[in-house]
Order: sequence, then C-alpha cells, then structure tokens
Amino acid sequence: MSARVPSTASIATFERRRAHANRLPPVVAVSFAWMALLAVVAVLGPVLPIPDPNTSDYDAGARLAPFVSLAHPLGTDGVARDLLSRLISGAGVSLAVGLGSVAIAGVAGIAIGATAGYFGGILDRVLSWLTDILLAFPAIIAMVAITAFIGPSLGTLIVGLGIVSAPQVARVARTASKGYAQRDFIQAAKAMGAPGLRILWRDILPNIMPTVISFAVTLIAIAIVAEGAMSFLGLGVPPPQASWGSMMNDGYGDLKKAPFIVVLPAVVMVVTLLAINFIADWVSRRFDSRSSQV
Amino acid sequence: MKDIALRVLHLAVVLFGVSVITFLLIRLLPGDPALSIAATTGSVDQGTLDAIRHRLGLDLPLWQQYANWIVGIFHGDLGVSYRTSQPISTAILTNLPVTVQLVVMAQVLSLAVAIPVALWVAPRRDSWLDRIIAGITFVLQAVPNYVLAIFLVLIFAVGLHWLPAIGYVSLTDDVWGSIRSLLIPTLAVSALLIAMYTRVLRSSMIETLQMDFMLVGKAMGFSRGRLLWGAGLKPSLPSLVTVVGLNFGVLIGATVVVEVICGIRGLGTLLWNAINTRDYLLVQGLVLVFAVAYVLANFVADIIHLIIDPRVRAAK
Repeated sequence: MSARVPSTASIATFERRRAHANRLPPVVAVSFAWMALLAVVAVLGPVLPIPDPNTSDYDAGARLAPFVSLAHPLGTDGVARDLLSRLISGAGVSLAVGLGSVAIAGVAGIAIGATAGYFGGILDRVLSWLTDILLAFPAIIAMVAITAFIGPSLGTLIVGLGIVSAPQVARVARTASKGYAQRDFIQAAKAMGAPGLRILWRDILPNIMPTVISFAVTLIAIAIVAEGAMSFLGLGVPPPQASWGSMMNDGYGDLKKAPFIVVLPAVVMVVTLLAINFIADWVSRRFDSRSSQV
Repeated sequence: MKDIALRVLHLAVVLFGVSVITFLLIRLLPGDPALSIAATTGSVDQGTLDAIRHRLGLDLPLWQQYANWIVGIFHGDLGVSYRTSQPISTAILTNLPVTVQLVVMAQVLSLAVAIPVALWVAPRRDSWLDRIIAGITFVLQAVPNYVLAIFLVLIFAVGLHWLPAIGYVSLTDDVWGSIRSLLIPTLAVSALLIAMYTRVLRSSMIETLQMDFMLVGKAMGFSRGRLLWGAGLKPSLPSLVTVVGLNFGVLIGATVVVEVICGIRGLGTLLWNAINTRDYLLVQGLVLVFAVAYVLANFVADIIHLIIDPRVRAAK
C-alpha cells in the first residue's frame, strides 16, 4: 500500500475543523461582551447621565424597586438611592477586587511556585510548606481575620484576597513547572550552561502561562464571590460605597416588601460569575493542552 | 507506614505554622495591641494598659509569649474575652454543635445527591442526560452560597412559609425540628459541593469504566447496578475523598455568611459578632479553631485516600 495522499476533500474537512476550533463559541462571545459592558459602564459610571449612587432622592417620590420611573429606571433601594447607579458602582468594586487581587496573586504565586517547581530540593520543600501553611486558613476565615485586625477597605479586600489566593496559584505553577523541569529542551538549555533564572524566565514561564492563566480566570470569579460575602457581612468596602454584596445586605431587611432590591444585584452577580466561568472553561479548553484531552 | 509517618510530620509542620500565624495576628493591630484592646473596654489609663500587657504577657520576649500561649491552648485555655469576661473556649464550645451539625448535614446531603447522580450519568457519557446534568452543575457552581440562601429564604420562608427563616432548634430537643431549622442553610452551602462532587466522581468513574476489570465483570454478566456500585465505585472514590477534604475549607467559609443570613448562632455568627465588637482574642481563638479543623479534615482525607487506594501505596 503506497503512502496515502490526503484528498482535497479531507483537507477541506481538516480546514473546516480547524476553523471551527478557532471560532469563538457564541456563549463565550456573549460572556466577553457582558464583561466588556461591565468594565465600560464601571469606568464611565461617574460621567454617565445617571443619579449619584450614594445620594438619597426622596423628592422624586421614587421608593423601593421595582417602582420604575424615568429618573430611576430600576427603582431605588430602601433609602431612595438609585439602584442602577449602585449596580454600576458596585460593578467597579467587583472588577477592581477580582482583577486586582488576581494580579497580585498571579505575580506572587507564579514567582513562588515556578521557583519551587523548577529548582526543587530544599527550596521546594520550604516553599511548599509555607504554601501549605497559608492554605490551611479557609479563604473567608483568612479574609475576616485580616479585616478584623487592619480594618475594612477596598485596599484590604484587594491585597487580602491577593495574599489568600497566591498560595493557590503557587501550587498550580509549581506542579506545571515541575513537569517542564524534566523535559529535554530544559535539560538541553541546562547542558549549554544557561543560568537557572534565565531558564526559568525564558523557558519555563512561557510554557506554564496557559495553565496558570486558565486557573487565574477561575480565581477572578472566586474573588468576586468572596468580595460579595465580605461586603454582605459589612466587612467589605465601607458604606456608602455600593457593592453587589452590600446591596444585598441593604435590601435584606426589605425582603418581604421589595425583594427586587436583593434580587437585582444577586442576578447581576450570578450572570457575571457565569460569564467568567464560561470564559475560564473556554480558555482552559483552548490554551491549556493538558485539560483539552478530557 | 512510612507514608503515614511522613504525613504526620507534614501535619505537625503545618499546625505549627498555623499556630504561629494565628498568634501573630494580634500584632497586625496598628500600634500597641494593649492600647487597642483597652480602647474596647472603655478605660484607657496606665493601670489598665499595664494590666492588659501583663495578662497578655506583652512584657515578655516574643518567643516566650508564644510558648505561654501554646501551652495554654494545650490545656484548653484560649484566654478570656475582654468584652464578655467569658473564657473563649466556653464561648466556642457553646456555639460549636450547631456549626458541626450544619457541616455534617451539608456533607451528607452533598454526597447523597452527588454519588447516585455521578454513577447515573457516567455510563451515559455525552448523552442528553449527561449534558443536562453538566449544565446544572455549571450553573450551581456560579451561584454563591449567600445568594442561594437569600433566594431560599425568599421562596421557602417568606413566600411559601414551609420553613423557618431564622433560628435554630437544638438536636436534643427535637431531631426533626432541628434538621428542619437547618435545612435552608444546608441547601445553600451544599449546592456548590453537589456540583463539584458530581463532576469529580463522574470523570473518575468514566476512567474506571474503561478498565479491563469492568469489561470482565460485564462479560461475566454482572448487572449494571452491581458493576457500578459494587465494582466501579471503590476505585473511583479516592479523588472524591480528596475533594471532600478540601471542601471542608469552602464549607467553613460558607457557614460564616450563611449562619449570619439565617440567624443561626454557630461559630460563624460568633466570629461575626466578635469582629463587630472588636473582641480580638475571640477572633484569634476562632481563626485557630477553624484552621486546625480544616487541616485535620484534610489530614483524615489524606489517610483515607491512602487506605482505600492501593495505587498510591504501590507508587511509592
């Protein structure tokens, strides 16, 4: 049997399959669009023609969602603050905490994890123990403890969640770089006398990034959930700044009278988390070769 | 045996680290911890300050403070609350049973739902049923426990009046009433666990189904149920055991918020009150209890993993 020459038909099939794999699935495209919309309105919030999120407006006769009026398209909360403005203002908090804390966790976690995984030995042992010790504190407990002792603020949330998430990134980065440390091209670079840090930076880092990034996207969702929990407990951003979590807490007292005050931020939050999870799922299928097999 | 010894050593290192960090927490207070604590009692004169410094042992070197603190803990002494003058261990022990009951109910419910569902869909991989279950677990993973708690209160307590919105009935008073009183919080914290357990067990079951011994079992004419529950479940369990252990941390965090929402006086509510009243020693004691509980749960999961999975032992 002679070598099989691919027919034009099978090349066309192959091309079509590749095009299909590269195309953004509609649900992921919608997720990206939703996140972009949130980012844009959160940044433009202060200049948009909407009421101030922290001012009570008793004059307009507008009270309690779902009372919809021209001045308050989604109604107002229990103290007559515009719900749409507060949702937008809260989006800023969620995005800042999600992206900020994951940025901190990413840099610290990759530095610790990749170093431990690549160099191995006693350094790995010590760094892994430190990671395990930090991971012993459940995230919310660690956040509550940090906040109890240094006080609630946006900075506490971002840095605190960064510290809490860093060991998780470290663990993922360590496992990934440990796998690469044994590979032939790394051994070759070593044999040619490339310094360890250079190998780490030039060869290990680019290779572990897909794995770490797809994990980091999930961490954004986890950070947003944690921010909501902290704000719901009154340990997040101090009032009157709106956050989806604090909005739910504000509305909880009026649950019987006006469930919409709670339902609105809850729905917006769940939609956002779904969007992030769809993106995370897609990122890990698309870029992380290890998870695409299953 | 060597594996277990190594894990015990690891456990000791982690517990030591946890105790040091928890001990140092008080130092995070800006400035003089004695001053911050005195401020909460309302009398900031030199006498009070000195008394607090002495009682906390702040006039001793740091390592000695730690030594005294840790020795006290081994005697069950976590100090005395400055707000209530109650021993911290007493406060924790009174609130402990509710939280333990909530955590146990949540884990039992999650496993009771996840195991049958995973075994049901695993042999039907990629069928419409599998896809629907995958969709449900995907959505459940995106709903935070506190959002779910609020919706459950809204539907079952405010709307339908089926369940109490707040309050807890003791297990010793009325078993059924007690379970009922914790049903909303249990459901709220279980959703995420059910989703995760189902996913994990489904994928390891799919791996098991491809093993030769399953084929042999099928050839010998075992029924599907016997194949799945009798032969397939055990080799698929180890990854689930690890995830169950790890999720104790998620569960502990979840109980804090959900207990506050549902007005249940457990450890979570205690922690929340401690922060709002700036009862720093109580916060410290609770953080220690939570972290140690989580570490021990993971340790037990590790050991169970070792016992039920001969492959881990063989690999060493």
